[in-house]
Amino acid sequence: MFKEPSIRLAAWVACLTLTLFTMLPCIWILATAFKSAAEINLWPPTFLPHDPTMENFQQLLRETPFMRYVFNSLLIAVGSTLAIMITSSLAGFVFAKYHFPLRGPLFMLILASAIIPLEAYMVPLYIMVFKVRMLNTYAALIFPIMIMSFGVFFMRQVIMSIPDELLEAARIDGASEWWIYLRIVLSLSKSGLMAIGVFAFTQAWANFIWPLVVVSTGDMYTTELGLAEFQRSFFTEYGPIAAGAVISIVPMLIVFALLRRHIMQGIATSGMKG
Amino acid sequence: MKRRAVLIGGAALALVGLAPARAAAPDPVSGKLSIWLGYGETAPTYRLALPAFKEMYPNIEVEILTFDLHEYEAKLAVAVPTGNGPDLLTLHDYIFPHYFENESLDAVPADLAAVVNDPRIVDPVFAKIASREGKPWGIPWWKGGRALFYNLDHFKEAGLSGPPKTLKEMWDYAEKLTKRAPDGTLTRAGITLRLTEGSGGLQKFSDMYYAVTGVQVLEPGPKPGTVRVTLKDNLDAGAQLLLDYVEHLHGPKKVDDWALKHDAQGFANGAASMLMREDWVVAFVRKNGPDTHFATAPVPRDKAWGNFNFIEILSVNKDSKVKKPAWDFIRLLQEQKYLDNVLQESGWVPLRLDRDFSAFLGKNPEYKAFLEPTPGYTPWIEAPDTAYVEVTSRTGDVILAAYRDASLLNNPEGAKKVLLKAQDVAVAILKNAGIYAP
Amino acid sequence: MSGAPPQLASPLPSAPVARWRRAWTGMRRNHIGFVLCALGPIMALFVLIRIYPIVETVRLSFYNYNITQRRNPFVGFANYIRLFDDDPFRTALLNTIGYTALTVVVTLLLALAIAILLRSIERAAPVFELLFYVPMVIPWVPAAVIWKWIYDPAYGALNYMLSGLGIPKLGWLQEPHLILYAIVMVSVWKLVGYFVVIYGVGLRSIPEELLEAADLDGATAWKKLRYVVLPLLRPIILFTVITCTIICFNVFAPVYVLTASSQGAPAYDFKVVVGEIYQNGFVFYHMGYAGSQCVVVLLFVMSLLVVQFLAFREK
Repeated sequence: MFKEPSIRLAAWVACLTLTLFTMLPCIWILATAFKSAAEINLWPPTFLPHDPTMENFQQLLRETPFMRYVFNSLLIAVGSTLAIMITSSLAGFVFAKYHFPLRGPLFMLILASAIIPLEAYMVPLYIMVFKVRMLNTYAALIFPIMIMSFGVFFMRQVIMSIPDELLEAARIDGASEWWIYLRIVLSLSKSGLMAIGVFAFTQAWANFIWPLVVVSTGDMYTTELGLAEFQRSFFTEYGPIAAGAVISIVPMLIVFALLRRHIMQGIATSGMKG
Repeated sequence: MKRRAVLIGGAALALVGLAPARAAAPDPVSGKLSIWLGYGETAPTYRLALPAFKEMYPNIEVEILTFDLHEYEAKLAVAVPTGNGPDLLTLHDYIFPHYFENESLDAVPADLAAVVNDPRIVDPVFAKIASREGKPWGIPWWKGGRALFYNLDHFKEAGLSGPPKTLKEMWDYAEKLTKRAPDGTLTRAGITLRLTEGSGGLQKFSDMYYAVTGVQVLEPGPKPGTVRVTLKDNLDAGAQLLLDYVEHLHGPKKVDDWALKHDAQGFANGAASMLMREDWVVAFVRKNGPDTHFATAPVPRDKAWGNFNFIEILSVNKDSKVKKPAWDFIRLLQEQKYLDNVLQESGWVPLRLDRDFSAFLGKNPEYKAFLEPTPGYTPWIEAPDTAYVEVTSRTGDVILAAYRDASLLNNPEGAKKVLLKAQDVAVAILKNAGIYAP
Repeated sequence: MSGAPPQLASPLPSAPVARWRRAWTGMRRNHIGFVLCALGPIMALFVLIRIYPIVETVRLSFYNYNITQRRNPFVGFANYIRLFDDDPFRTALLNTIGYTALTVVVTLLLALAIAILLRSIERAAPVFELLFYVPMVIPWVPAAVIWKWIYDPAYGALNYMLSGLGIPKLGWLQEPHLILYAIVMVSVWKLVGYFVVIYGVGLRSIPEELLEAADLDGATAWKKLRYVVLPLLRPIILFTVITCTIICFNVFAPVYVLTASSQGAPAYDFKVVVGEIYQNGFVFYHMGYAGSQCVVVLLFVMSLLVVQFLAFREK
């Protein structure tokens, strides 16, 4: 976008500084995961481990079925992400490109509902899930996060920039609305879709309060619940928490890295150029 | 002959009395017994009891889940009323009233009720908490009490021969033990005070308030479940205590600072010389501050001398499908072996008076102040009620904010105003919950 | 997909029917069938997951609803009246507003600047975007632990760096007037990566031709920015402002893990609205009262959003 060398220099400086700011705490967590309990409690604290140990990971895997938690979190996150990607893109498409009565109010409704956090309306939701006897199931864990208001909003904004002529042309060629959605809209809004997917995935993974009240057996724990187990009543065991954090982050980073490539592909093949 | 028979008979009876849970043959009933714990450090004890339980109920699967205390309470509050809670309920004394009033508790079997009502086995102060109209609704299992922890090395260095016995001595010693850096900031607290978190703040203030007045800030009212607020009636003594706090947090007599490491962590790191806390600190300091040499002593006295306690009560969920096995599990936990384990693993003190812990005390002298009965030392327990958390948090917030207020130095009128405000806040909340006793 | 038009026995000339036929054809042209098929199930799900529970919560705010008790009497507006006297809630509201304002401005300006700068080093951009995004995926509990160490008054990294500049050691999480900035910084750390990605998407979709045309017209970078890039980015900027505002107003986890449950290293009790709602609902068990707080927050934020919509709407 800008080819001036002064701007490129500014870019490098700024980005490297920001990288330092964002990554330092993360690296410290990584380092903590490999420190012994005694070293973690050293005051003043150390940065890199003097005597790296796998003890925290071992304690984590010994005291909890952590890999099961990872599996659970993964299942929920993937389910939620797919649901959100579908509902956001479809709803965003409809709100962006179609006129129908109540379009404005319905959209504002979706947006407004995002203001209230889950903690506020959790109890009626819990009672509802309980009445259909679906507590402690994967379905119950995915249920409240099948829709993301921000997702609908964002996809609407992104899809609005797709030229109407493109859609009309397809209709004239005899395409059905579903074909237009699947073939045209989805490929043109791919980068936005992937961004939403990434956000949905991390949000589902970090979900804490809902799983806390819904889950009642150990085998259905998510990683967040599992990590919280190490917060004893009056003190916290930092080592296993850091180790658990490291294990939890890996799937998320993989997903992000994979989808990033998709986004780049999407941009390359998008119909925006020429 | 006859005497021997009586002796053997007596011994047999005693054995039966000590081991009531051994049923003759294993019970084939199947199902799942779930236990939720807010105090994760007691989990090893429950797990230790599993093999014996399995012998009694081979087809019952036991699941033990642990949570952070506050999350446990929130989860329990949502699950039990909707019939979705655990079978065995481990209830802290202040949440016990909720579940009793909500009729969520199963009736206690007669033999266990007799144990609770026996003053030689369970101190009546604790039995009263778990009972209504003389009828127990749960089994008090372990208690936490407070003691004064003090750092032996720091004391020796400051030339102090023993722990402070009175409140005044405590403040004086704290001033002597405080260390400063050249620029005046504190590097070591003479005593680490509770300066944050409303509920705990009120509790620790109440410790010393009891010493100067003989009553807690929130006393149980005449009707069970109601609460009295005593600040207005003890305004002078209370204000003086608040002034003592403020004097020691601001200015030349400062003994503690918000920026220092506090509580058990601070004490274990040597950042504080004295601490008033519960039994679990012993295990904590051993693990996290192996170089810290400390001892425990009873809480200092003033006009009155007493020790705060709280207890954990075991009950069975009325909606449970495995009630009898759950009660049998509770009976199992009354045995010496498991009580020893609780003490060893978590540091919480089992409160059955008929059990012997001298062997443990021999190896762990730091528990002296918790295990040895001290004549004249009155145990008191907070008024458990349905608004406990709210009233202690909000009232505590008022007092904690006052600690930060340097304008209260040498300002008895200001201190009285703060306490009156705290009184108003507490009364409003209690009235709103319908449990205020004037 | 769309239904067939209603079969009439014979074409009738009466006005209402003709109007109905015109409307029906209009709707058909707007593919109302597709809209219903596509949006219908989604709206149904939405009503179930969001609308019903929220309405329930509002309804419960008119009751003295305690989740552990069986009697829950109707009390009308009593909960709302209590709100006026609620000092902690008022403090929480002011804190949250201050926090939101600071965090939104700092995060979005920084993210926008970085996203724009990244476009001039496009080949390195994916790597940077990934690195900036990492804080988003780290769970709050370990992140808070590290930041508490960074903020430690005696040995924290921040005070260590500042002491090199001659600034005395500060209690970032302990002093009431500093903790706001400390929490804002942690939030910026966590959120900036997400918005860099979002702005990146928006910036990349700006057609090259427009920028090339501007270049041919001799426009400087600044002019390109002001007259081409930013106007085209308007819908995305609207989205980010609204999203960030909502995220910030809902702040709970970072404040909770940084200040609460830290008995060893105490922090100032920085109150925020969702913290109050959670405390009133799940710690004090006053779900009805918490519901009334939710309603107040909802009304407040909605008016804020309306203002933002008006300010940033596309022309």
